[in-house]
Amino acid sequence: MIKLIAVAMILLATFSFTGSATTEIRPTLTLDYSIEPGVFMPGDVGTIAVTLSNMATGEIYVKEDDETLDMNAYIASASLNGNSELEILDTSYTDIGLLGPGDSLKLTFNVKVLDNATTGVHFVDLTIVGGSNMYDLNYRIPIKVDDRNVKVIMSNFPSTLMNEVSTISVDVVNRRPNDVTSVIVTPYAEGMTFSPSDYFVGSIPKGNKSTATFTFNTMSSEEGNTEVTFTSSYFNGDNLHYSNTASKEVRIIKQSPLVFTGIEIESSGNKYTLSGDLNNFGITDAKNVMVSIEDTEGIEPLQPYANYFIGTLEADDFSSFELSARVTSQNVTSIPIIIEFRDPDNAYTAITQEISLDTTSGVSYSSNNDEGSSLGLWLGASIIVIAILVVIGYSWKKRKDDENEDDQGADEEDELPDDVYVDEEDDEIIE
Amino acid sequence: MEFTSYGFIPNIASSLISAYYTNKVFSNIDFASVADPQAVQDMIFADPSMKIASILGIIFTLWSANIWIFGVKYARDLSLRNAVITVGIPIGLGLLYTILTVFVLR
Repeated sequence: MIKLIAVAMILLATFSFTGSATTEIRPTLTLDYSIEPGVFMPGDVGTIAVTLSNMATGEIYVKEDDETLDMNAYIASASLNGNSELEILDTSYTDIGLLGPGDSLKLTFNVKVLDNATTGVHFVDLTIVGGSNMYDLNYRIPIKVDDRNVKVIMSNFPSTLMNEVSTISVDVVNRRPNDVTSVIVTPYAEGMTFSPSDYFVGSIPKGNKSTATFTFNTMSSEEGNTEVTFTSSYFNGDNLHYSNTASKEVRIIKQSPLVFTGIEIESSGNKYTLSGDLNNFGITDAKNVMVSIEDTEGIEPLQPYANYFIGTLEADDFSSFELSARVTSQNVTSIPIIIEFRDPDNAYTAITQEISLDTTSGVSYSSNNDEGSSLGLWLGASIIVIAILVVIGYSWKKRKDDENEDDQGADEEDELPDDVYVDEEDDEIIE
Repeated sequence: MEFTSYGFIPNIASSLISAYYTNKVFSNIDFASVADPQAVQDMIFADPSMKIASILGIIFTLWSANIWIFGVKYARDLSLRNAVITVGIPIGLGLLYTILTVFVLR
């Protein structure tokens, strides 16, 4: 019984084996490829990865009509041939070997697109030489070459700037038919500082744009025209490229973004109290704004308003302030005020503005504490005092002499010495 | 009377010199910006030019007094002591007031 069952199973297995052998018996080789980068630029180096797959399934050896078929794909060599515009750096693989059923193999070729390559589709020829029952395989792989570049567009860039801190953005446009990666935008201009000095945009998909925003500091720029340029660097595959430089002529005008208005100057002797408004005339907020009297020669800041903290002064806003100073020199015609603040990137900035004393007070200043001036006044007064004392003394002396001549018997009053007459008079007054 | 009139001659010079110093004082003060009269007064008296003007005023007054002493002496035939007393009392009171206001009470 057991023997009978075993024979039946062997027969069943034999029938089922022969039944499946009639459906699929030969190896089927398929080919796929990928190109990096998707679209080359002239001069680029890239890779072509060819994937060979043996699509056969099941056993390696198949019996068909008493014939045993080998389902392995034997690949003798694979070679890629370029043309006058495409150079294949490593042209061929030889003696690759067997590719079993369901297995795949990736062959990578390095390709260089020559500098003189024209825009368009170029073909490279792939030749796979097979062994065993396989035929040779010839295939043309299309390589796209396009010389379109990434472009920086200064779309909303102002043509005139003050001495200010402004936020400016530029568009980076990917005109290429494939994505570019690691895009970095770099600005440059003489006498200006940018923050950040390089802006990392990242990847830009094909036909898209990204925006790079910069903080533009023209605080210390000289008046006149300056050329501002932007360039971008990017990678097409593994190839570094630079975009064309976008430039624009910008006129810098000597105008601070923080301006004083409504200044009132009150003077009491040599003490000056300045009050008014500080206006943010710029387009960005100024943080931590503080105004102070600059301690220069002839000007002393006076407490409690030697400096005045305003805080954040938003664009198009103003704040009032009050400062006081003592002017100790006659030559002072204006008081320098330091305005300290931080720009949107927290960079410290200080500017100095002068507030004129002449135009506002309407009188020329003459110092009360000035030693030279004061000394002159006292000297003049002393000369007059001495002159008068001499005149008084002389008159008394003359009188005394006259009386002595007129009356030999002098009065007691006349015996008094000349120089004490005035003092005596003062004594009597106090009494 | 004639000597009394002569006594006012120094006052002419005094007025001219005082005018100069007072001008210096007032030119330093911006009256438009100071509303408080007391503050104006303080500023005027705080100025050294004002002190100089006061001192000169005192000296010129003494000069006038000197002339008046002899004027009174001859006009009323008084002794010099009596003439000094006669002129000294009003002048002394005037000077005392000036000294107190300008120097002591400041």
